[in-house]
Amino acid sequence: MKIDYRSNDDIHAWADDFRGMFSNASAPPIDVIYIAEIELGLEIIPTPHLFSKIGMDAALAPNLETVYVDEESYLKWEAGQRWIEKRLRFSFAHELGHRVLHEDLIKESKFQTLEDFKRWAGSPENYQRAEYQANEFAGRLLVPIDLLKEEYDRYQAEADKFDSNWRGIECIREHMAKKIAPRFGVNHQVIEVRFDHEGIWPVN
Amino acid sequence: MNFGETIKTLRLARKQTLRQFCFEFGHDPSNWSKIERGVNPPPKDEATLARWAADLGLTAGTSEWDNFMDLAAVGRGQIPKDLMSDEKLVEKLPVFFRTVRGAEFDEEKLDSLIETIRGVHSPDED
Repeated sequence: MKIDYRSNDDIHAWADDFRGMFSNASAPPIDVIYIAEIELGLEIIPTPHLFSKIGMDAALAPNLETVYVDEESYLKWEAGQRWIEKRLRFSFAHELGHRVLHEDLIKESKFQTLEDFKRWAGSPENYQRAEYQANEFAGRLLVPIDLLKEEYDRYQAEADKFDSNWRGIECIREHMAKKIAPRFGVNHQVIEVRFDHEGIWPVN
Repeated sequence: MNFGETIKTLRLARKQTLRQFCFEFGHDPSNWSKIERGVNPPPKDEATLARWAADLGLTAGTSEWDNFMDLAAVGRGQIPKDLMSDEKLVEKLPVFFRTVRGAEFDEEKLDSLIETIRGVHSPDED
């Protein structure tokens, strides 16, 4: 069963609608784990070696009701390692993206095991499209466009004072993303992708 | 509802994720999750159970607290300690076991059994 093409605009609309369903998701960082576990009632199961075995620190089970989370990542988060918190936040948002965008397909496919599901999602015709869509959903969910523009405008106003051609300076893009990322609780790479996909600062 | 389901329900009633709850009260999330799902049995230690009950917002002496302790005992396959200290009740337990194992366990027999246990365990008789 193939995953249909979806435009970015379509995915963004799904992500915005989804965020709008939850009153506690109006201000970033969006607590996607709270949404998954408390609002949606999903079962969160800390699982040893999930990341080392399948390279994921969160994985939605084919029943769509369970999220396996890498136990080591969970413990590192507790130990105060902020980079893990950001990665887990994005991973949960990504899995929610699969649940929202691919729910019907996953249900129709009637997977019996996580391995079957991974095989389906990992098939060449599905993998790229499914992962791209879930990533785009996650990015938009965690980084609301109006707030991103607000941050960009603020930075732009400051940067203009020093050099009106600041967008042409190679390292500025990453620097700006690093300045903005903490508000959203994500890694700076997520912000750089948002600049591109939201048309704020497209990659040439 | 069994012990695992009960502690999960109580945690969710507090609107706390597994991570938030375990972080606040110093529990291991993996172990806690296993107990919620019935993979691991409830702890034996009474002090630990009492701390868990308090963490989940229960108050000692209430029926919810007693139910929590009873479910923990049942979850470990044990009869609650306070019942085992009641000699009259313990004497009746073999009858109870025989009855619940019996093939013919109709409503009348069940009522009769409950009355028997109530009679034995009534505080008024002490």
